[in-house]
Amino acid sequence: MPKIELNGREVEFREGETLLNIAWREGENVPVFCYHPKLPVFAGCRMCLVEVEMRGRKGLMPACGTKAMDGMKVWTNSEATKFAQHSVLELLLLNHPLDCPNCDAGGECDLQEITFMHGPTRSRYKFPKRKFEIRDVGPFIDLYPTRCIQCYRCATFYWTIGGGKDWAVFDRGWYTLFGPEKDKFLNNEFSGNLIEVCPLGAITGKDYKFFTRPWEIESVPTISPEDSLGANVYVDVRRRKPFSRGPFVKAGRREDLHKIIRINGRENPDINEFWITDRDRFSHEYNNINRVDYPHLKTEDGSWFKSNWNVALDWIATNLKKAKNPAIISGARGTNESAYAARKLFKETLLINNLDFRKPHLALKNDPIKATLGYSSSNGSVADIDRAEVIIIVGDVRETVPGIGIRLVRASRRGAKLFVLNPYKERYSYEGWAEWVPMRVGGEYKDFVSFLSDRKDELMDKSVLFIISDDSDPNIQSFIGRDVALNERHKLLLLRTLPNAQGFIDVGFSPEPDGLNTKEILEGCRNGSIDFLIIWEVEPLWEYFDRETVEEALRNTPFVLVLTSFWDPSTEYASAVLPITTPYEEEGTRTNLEGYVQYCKDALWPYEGSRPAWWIFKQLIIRLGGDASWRSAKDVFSEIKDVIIPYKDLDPYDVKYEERDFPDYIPTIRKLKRVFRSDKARYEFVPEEFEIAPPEERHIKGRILYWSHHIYKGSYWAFRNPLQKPYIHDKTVFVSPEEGMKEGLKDGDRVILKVKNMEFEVFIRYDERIPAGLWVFKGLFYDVPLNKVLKERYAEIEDVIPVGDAVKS
Amino acid sequence: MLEGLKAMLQGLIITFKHFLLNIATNRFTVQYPKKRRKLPDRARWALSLQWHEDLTERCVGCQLCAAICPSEAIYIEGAVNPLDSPVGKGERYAMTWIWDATRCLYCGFCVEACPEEAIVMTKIYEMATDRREDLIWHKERLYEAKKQQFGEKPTFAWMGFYRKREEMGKPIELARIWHEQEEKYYKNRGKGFDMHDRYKRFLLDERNIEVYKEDLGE
Ligand code: SF4
Ligand code: SF4
Ligand code: SF4
Ligand code: FES
Repeated sequence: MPKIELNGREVEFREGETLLNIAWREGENVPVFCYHPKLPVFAGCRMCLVEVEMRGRKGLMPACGTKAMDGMKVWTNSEATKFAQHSVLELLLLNHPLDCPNCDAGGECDLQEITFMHGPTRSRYKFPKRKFEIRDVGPFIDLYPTRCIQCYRCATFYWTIGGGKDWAVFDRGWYTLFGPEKDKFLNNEFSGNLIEVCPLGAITGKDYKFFTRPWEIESVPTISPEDSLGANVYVDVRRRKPFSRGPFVKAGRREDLHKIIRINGRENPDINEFWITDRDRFSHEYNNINRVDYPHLKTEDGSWFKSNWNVALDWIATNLKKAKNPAIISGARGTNESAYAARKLFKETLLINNLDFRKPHLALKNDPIKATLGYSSSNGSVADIDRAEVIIIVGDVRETVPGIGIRLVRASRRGAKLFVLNPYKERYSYEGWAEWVPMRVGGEYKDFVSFLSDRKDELMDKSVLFIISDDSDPNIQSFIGRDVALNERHKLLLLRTLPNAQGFIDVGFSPEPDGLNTKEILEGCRNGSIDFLIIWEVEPLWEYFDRETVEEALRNTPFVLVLTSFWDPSTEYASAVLPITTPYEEEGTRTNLEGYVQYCKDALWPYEGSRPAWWIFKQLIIRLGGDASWRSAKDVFSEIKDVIIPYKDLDPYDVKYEERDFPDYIPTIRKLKRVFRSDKARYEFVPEEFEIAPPEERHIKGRILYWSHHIYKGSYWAFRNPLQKPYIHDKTVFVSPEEGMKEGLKDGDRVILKVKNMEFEVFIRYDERIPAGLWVFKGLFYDVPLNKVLKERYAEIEDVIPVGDAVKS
Repeated sequence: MLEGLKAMLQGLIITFKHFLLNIATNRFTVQYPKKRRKLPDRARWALSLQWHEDLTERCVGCQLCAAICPSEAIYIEGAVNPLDSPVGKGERYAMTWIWDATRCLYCGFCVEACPEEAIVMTKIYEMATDRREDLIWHKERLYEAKKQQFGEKPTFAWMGFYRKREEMGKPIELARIWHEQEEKYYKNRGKGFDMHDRYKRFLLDERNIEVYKEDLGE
């Protein structure tokens, strides 16, 4: 093995290691600014200079960018090195405003720490410092360019990892200014990572702004519940360490601060590799908004009676006992434990199979993936994106599972061929990372098949990864499922549009073999055959198409029990509302879209009287004479392990991590010391023979109203967050500029859309990514009840009547 | 034996002397609460928060006081200082500033840590109460304490040393002056450390006494 001499002692190293790697591994103190373990080496700040002797010649070299060579002599603590560190720091500090008492990074700032260790105590600089204005670059981030030390970490991240193009470097030297163009908002869903990447407080988050200090914070390692990727995060709270300072006592008891202060990334190389999306990072305000505090029962005169848990559960259990045909619908947002408890309540205690979490229009008797692949799950993994030569994406990744975008950008940079099949250009095709293959609304299957046959040569003998969202055309799904089952080099990554859908499938929260699915449950409610309906963490009025059926169903059901955290509109139809915890208040496990079963720790106390859903189901099981003696979510999981075969060998409650040789004294790098790993469930893929009947093509002419996901507005939790409002365009329909101009509409105009004899007032917004003829509405239907006319993803627009002038929504 | 007796007698003489002196002048026992002893100016009792001339808060919510506090008696929540009606002079301000008198050990570290000299310890020591909540002082009570002790006018003080206006926010500079003087003094005297002496000397320094008088209206 080759050797170098580090501070006088012989050290072996592997080929390709840099001096910095070796020094850190050996525990030597080398300060860095521009080096970040997850970013490409830039070697621009010169903070890591070390004295190097090679072939008799001495000099200072940046340790982060110098590969070790046999026979090198390196000193990390020699006089020359110390002098270099001291001088570089003095230079970096020339223009730094030293406003630490005001700065949000104070206490976890690389510059602070390194200056204390290596820096000068006094400045010799007697001239005015350069100053910049504070820049507002969007609802999430604040930019303080005055504090910047031009390390370029932000730019490196934004361009190479986030794939964003709207972050620029202006000017040079002292006056280097980073950020988007003047008065522009950042438009990249990974922009929040800049806060973590910046070694000091030049980029800070608006959710955290000035509320507290890093030393007051406790970081809870948990999982982001927002999407099915299950990004690993640290949730920072300020609370409840028994002896720590905290919100002070009230009447002798310590009060808890029910507030998440911020969310940061946590490294898990298999899943999110440290980077998290803005949706994961910035949507946590909802934990305090519009919450249900205690169980509420509807009295005879229609008013709410605030009750305690015992009374409420007894009353509900009595009604459930009387019910002939109960059913439960869900949004797959709970933990695996809760889903298992619900399954136990229905399948084993009530002996009824009416449970489903899918949206009605997707609730098929025959799951296309299950039928063709043998198990309803992806057989590829997110890490396969890094290996595949061709990646075929069906659907809009950015709006459904944005977290995998990091890998898509990387794959594209690596030279893999990416295709996106979607009715409109989504982010990756618009920004040039992928090739857009237009899909006609209504003719998706045909377009998909003709795309495959057209591009046969490009796909032949290549490793292909199909990324499809689980709400895409079932025929495409079964086509891909069969293709993947037959072809070893083809893999499937099924993007779940509901956060814990995979876990719900695994633990058996599905109507198989003889129960009713969501569509049939709603139908049953409507015609009165279902007399007890549980709605669990789903807002059917906002999420399901065909709102009138839903409304009628809820109206006709004698007893509707709503398990929810929020006072959403369906609670109006409820006979009882039970408050359940939001994901950050609940302990449990979640399964991500590839089958990683991950432990999420509770970061907050439950809000007022709310309880985890599994506890409620357990109480109902006990009251109905079943057997459930779990005392914690962990107990439930040990039962799951016995019953659910894929989860047999898993132990997610024991969170595993390895420690790296990173130093403790650099806050932004200290975060990366721990590498977390999760275990995957073992699925058996037993393909079946399955005939696909090619669907009849229904191509609509004229203007099509098309529904699509939205990263913030489409999320059950994120849209409640006031911080993201600027990115959520309420009551808005997106059209292409040509289409808008053809109709005589300007950007921001108010119009009345006439669809199926109903009129809806919406705003028009130009979006050049949308082809002519498509009018796209995104996200939940809480603002405009367009789901009254949308019986599936699209409908024909009969007329567009402009009203009034441009009023910005 | 003889030495022991001598020491005992010495002690008795002191006791007796004080007894007689006390009868004559009432100097040692104070008839509290009818009479209250005058506290020295550096007495370290309840905290108070200070304001600027325009009555904005001097605290910028940096939470350094909370960080240094050994008994975790200070709890602060920061917030963005509203530009239209600023609470303080910084970009941030303390939305919540709570001092827990039951935890505080009156060490004065917080006073020393504060970069804005927003905390000054008062001579308010009569805080006895039968309700725990009364000992948890929020911002209003802390400003009230300031008014009670120093009046409406802004006070400039750092660890009990009343200072000139220009010296505000320069604790390091002040400490330097102090240490220089001290070093000189002790070198000349060739004697050990005497806190009281040092304090007196500092107050007797011309430049300090001026401000002291001005601020206290003496
Ligand atoms: S803003 Fe931060 S990350 Fe970007 S160059 Fe400046 S100091 Fe580095
Ligand atoms: S005087 Fe000491 S114990 Fe009391 S609040 Fe200040 S730092 Fe804490
Ligand atoms: S140290 Fe001073 S400025 Fe900072 S929070 Fe405490 S009182 Fe306010
Ligand atoms: S040059 Fe090595 S850390 Fe910046």
